[in-house]
Amino acid sequence: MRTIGSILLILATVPAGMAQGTAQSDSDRIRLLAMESAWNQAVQQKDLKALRMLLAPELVYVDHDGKVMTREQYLADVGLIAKRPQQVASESMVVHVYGVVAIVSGVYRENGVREGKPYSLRERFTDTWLHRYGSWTCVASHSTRIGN
Amino acid sequence: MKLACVLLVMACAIAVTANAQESTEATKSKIIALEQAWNQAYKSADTRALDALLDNAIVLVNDDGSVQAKAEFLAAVKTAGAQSSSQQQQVAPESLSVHVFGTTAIASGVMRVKGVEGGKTYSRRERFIDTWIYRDGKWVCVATDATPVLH
Repeated sequence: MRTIGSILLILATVPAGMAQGTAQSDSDRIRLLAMESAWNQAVQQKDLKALRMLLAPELVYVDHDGKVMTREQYLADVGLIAKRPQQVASESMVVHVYGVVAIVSGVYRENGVREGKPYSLRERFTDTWLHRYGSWTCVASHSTRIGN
Repeated sequence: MKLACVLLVMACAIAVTANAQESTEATKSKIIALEQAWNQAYKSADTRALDALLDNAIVLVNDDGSVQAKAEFLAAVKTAGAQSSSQQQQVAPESLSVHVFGTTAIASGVMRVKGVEGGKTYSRRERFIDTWIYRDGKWVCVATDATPVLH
């Protein structure tokens, strides 16, 4: 838990988005991909402290069934005792950086056990990240279910 | 003298805050108008108007999880527009809320979508999130994602 938090702190607070050069965009892309991985790890470990560092208080989160959640509702969902994610991973991620805004899209996979029954999710996701107060934070996340 | 300085600073701070709030409200109205323009352009298959609203590198995810590039989306709208009106998809917004973060805005809401697929009519509700950024003097949409509402 402490490890994710420390990594996040380093990833999030490195100055970004100010220089518009390609090198800066590339470093932002690498940083954002690492933050997406940290998000997955935090979900698997139910590390709500780490998730709070990644997600803006104003987060708009749309789940794969069309349910809209605030950050606190999302954290409550992640923290459910009855839900135990065993594998969480993202693939085919693409990052578009527009100065202080970035769009990360890709495919999210989650397998685990919920209320004693195995479950498997495969979703297309789009996350909007904003660089403010010296760090990147996710302000919107949207998922759409796709076939396995 | 000190009191006058303090009052001046406070007055400036209040003015800046009021301007920021006004600006945020103005941006919300602008984004709502752009969302309406998008719906109108979609219904009337106005690909020129859509082209102006959408960034060339837009990330566009449909309600079935499929991804389209801007050119593919515009071509699909054009094709649908060339079909008879009974086959065209109809969209009607049910709700819309906008969060403004300076030169970035997140518009989210629910749409009711009606159309014909395989000779059968359908009607479904979709939750969407659109990300808008202010660039080169205008707002453009850089990401749009839709999900069927199942609950």
